[in-house]
Amino acid sequence: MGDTMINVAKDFSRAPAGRFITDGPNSGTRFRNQFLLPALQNGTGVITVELDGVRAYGSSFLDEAFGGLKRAGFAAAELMKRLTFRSSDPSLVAEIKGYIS
Amino acid sequence: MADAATYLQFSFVVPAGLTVVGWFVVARQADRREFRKEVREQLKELRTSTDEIRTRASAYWLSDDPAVAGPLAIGLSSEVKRLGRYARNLEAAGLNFDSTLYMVDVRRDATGGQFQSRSRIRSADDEDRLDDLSGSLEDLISAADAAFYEEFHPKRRHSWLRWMPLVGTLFLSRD
Repeated sequence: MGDTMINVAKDFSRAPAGRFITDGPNSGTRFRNQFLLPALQNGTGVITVELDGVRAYGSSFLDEAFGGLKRAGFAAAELMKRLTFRSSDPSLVAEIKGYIS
Repeated sequence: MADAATYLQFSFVVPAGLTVVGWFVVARQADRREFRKEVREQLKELRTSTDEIRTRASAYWLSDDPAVAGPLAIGLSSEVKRLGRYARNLEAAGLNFDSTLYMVDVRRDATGGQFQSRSRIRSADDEDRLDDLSGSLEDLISAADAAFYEEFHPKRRHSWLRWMPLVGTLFLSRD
């Protein structure tokens, strides 16, 4: 399967917030279940996540969305290999890589 | 006679050269002073932003009112994003410091844990979080300050080369 692009602001929400479904409609859990997990499970290509365009990210969202992938059973090596990130803020990418490595 | 004529013809070269080179040195120093002022302004904005984050983080994490939690959370995460931009501006200006890991710590301390959780209940851990955040912000400011003084060391502010145009002009006027 080919590569996939996920644009958080355009495909998901410009205001991601919170960890769990009970926290609101744009939670880290919903992003992980609706976008990241299907992309990882349905192919072998690289998944590029475009992070720009969002109002702001909370670490709680990032931890649940990306750190939750490891808790869902994905190996760190596979996540580091298949997930790439585009952002004008290198600290966001560094933080997410900290959660998935 | 030929020697005297040659001397007279080219006697202005050295003083003129000193003057021109001196002008370049002074112009460069003036540019550097302006640049230093701009970087200081950016540093001031960075500090103001860190103060704002402390205020907004205290308001959010120490509040018991769920009605205001949403707007307070948005304000806090937006300010953290703004701080990151100020830090990157300083790096882009040429300061030798990498804000990446400092910003990761600031964002985690300000917006980690149960941030934006509807079931969040205020606890003693929230005050520890604010202490950690204060530490992260101080680390960022210290790193930025250290990079500023490395680039604009007080001892390197003045140079004897700034007297070159005057020396060149004095030689020229003697001729």
